[in-house]
Amino acid sequence: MTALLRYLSGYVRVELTGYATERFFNLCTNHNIYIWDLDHREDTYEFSMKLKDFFTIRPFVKKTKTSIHVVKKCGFPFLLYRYRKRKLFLFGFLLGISIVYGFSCYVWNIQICGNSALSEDTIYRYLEEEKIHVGTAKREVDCEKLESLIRQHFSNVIWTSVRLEGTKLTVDVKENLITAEPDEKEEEEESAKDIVSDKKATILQIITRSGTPQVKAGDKVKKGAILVSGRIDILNDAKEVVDYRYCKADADILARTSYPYETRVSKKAQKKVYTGKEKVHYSFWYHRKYIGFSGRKISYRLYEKETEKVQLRIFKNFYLPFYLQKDTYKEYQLKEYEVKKAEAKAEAAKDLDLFLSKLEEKGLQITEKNVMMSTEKNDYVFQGTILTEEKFGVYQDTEVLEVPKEEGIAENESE
Amino acid sequence: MKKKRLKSVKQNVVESLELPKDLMYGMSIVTVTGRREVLIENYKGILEYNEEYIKIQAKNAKLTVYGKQLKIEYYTNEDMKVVGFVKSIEYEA
Repeated sequence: MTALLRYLSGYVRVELTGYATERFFNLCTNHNIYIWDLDHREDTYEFSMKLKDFFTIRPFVKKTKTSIHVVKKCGFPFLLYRYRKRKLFLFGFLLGISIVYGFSCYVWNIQICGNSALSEDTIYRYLEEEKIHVGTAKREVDCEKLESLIRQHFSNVIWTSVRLEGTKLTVDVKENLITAEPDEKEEEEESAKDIVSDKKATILQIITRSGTPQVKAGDKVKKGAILVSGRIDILNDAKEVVDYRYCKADADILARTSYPYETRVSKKAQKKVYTGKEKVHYSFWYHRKYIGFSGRKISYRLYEKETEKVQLRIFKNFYLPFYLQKDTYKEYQLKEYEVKKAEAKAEAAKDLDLFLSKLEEKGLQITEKNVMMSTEKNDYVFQGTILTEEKFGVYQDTEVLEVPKEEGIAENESE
Repeated sequence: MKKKRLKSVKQNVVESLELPKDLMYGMSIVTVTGRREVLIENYKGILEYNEEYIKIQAKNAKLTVYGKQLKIEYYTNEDMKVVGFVKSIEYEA
C-alpha cells in the first residue's frame, strides 16, 4: 500500500557525498522529511525520498557542504512527464474509458431463471411492453416496481426478484405449479348430466355412484349412446313411474375401444449426403446491426446453416452490445434411393411407438395391436387396429321429461 | 541534593501511576528481531553511519549497532529501522 502511494506521488533515488552527511540526515528528520532505503557504499549514501521533499532540501545541502545528485526517478509523475507529447494516446485512453463508462449505463443482457410453465419469450414480451429490453438505460429500470408488475401480470408467479448486476438484468421467477383449477370445476357443474359414449366401444366394467346405469358389462355401445342417465325414476308399488329426480351422473366405466392405425412409407426416399465441404463465416454485430467481416457468398446449391452467437463481455456481468456470430455452412446433396423392407419396417415401428405413446399419454391402456404390412406401387402400407382399455364416457345435459299424468291421479286418490 | 530528590519524586509518580517510561524519561526503545532487524524508537539523531556500524544519539546515551551490511530501511522523527546482520549493540555514557 505504501509502495503504491509512493509510486503515485513519485519519488527519487539520490546519492549523497560530502562533509557532514549525518548532519544532513538529522536535518531531514527534524524537518519531517521521510527517508527510506538508506544504503551506505564507501563514501556515498544512497537513499529514496519523496519528489515533493526533494525540492526543499537545497538549503540543507548547502549548510552541510554535501553534494547531491539524482540516480533514478520513479513514479507516476515522471511517467506522465515522459509521455507528455503523446496527446493522441491520452485522447484515446480517455475515449476508451468514456466508451466503457457509456456502455455500462445500459442493460445489454436479460436473463430469466426459474421459469417452467411460462416461456422465456412470454416474459421477454411482457418486459418489452414495460419498455425494458436490451439497450434500455439502467436508470430507467426500477427493479422493485418491475417485481410487483410481474407478479400482478402473471397470476401464477408467486415470487420474483429483479436485479441489475453490471449490464445484466436478471429476472428470477418462482411459479405456483399447483393450480387451483380442479376445485373450480367441481363447483361449476351441479346441473343434471348424463354420461354418454363418445365412440364405438365394448363396456368391460361399470360402477355407478349416482344416476341410472343404462348399460351393463359386455354391452356394445355406439357413439352417442347414454351410458349412465342422470334421471332417476321414482316408481310406485305398481312399478309405474311417479316422479323423476335429476342428478349429475357419476360412474367409473371401463371400456374396450379400438383405434385405427395407418402409415405409409414411401419406397423411394431422398437422403442427405454431406459432401464434406464446409465454410465458416464469422461476423460482428452491434446490437442487431451487422458490422462486418463476413466471407464471400456461399456457392453451394444445397446447404445447412448452423449459427452460433456469442455476446462479448468484459467481466462476468459486464456484457457489451457486441456479438460475435459464427455461421457454419455444410454442403449436402440429395440422393434418391430405394427403401428396403427392413428399413421401412423400422421406420414404421418408430412411428407406431410414437402413436402408442400418444395414446398412453391420454390414459389409455393398450391391450392389443395388430398391424399388417402390405406393398403398394410406390409405398409400403402399414395398417391395423389398436385395442385399448380406457376410462370411458363424456358428460352431456340430461333431457328433462315431463312427469307422467298418472302422478296427478295418484295424488287425487290419496286425497 | 535537591535535584536528586526531585528526580526521585518524579520516579515515584511515574511508577505509582504506571505512566509510560519512554515518554516520561525520553528513554529509547530498541526492538531486535532475530539478528536481522533493529527498530529504534525515541532517538535524537544519527551520529555516524556506515555499513559496519550505526551510531545513534539517544536522549542521554549514545547507542551503537555493530554489524555487517547495515542498511536503514526507513528513518523518521520517531523511529528508524535498521536491517542487516547484527553483531552487537553497545551503549556509551
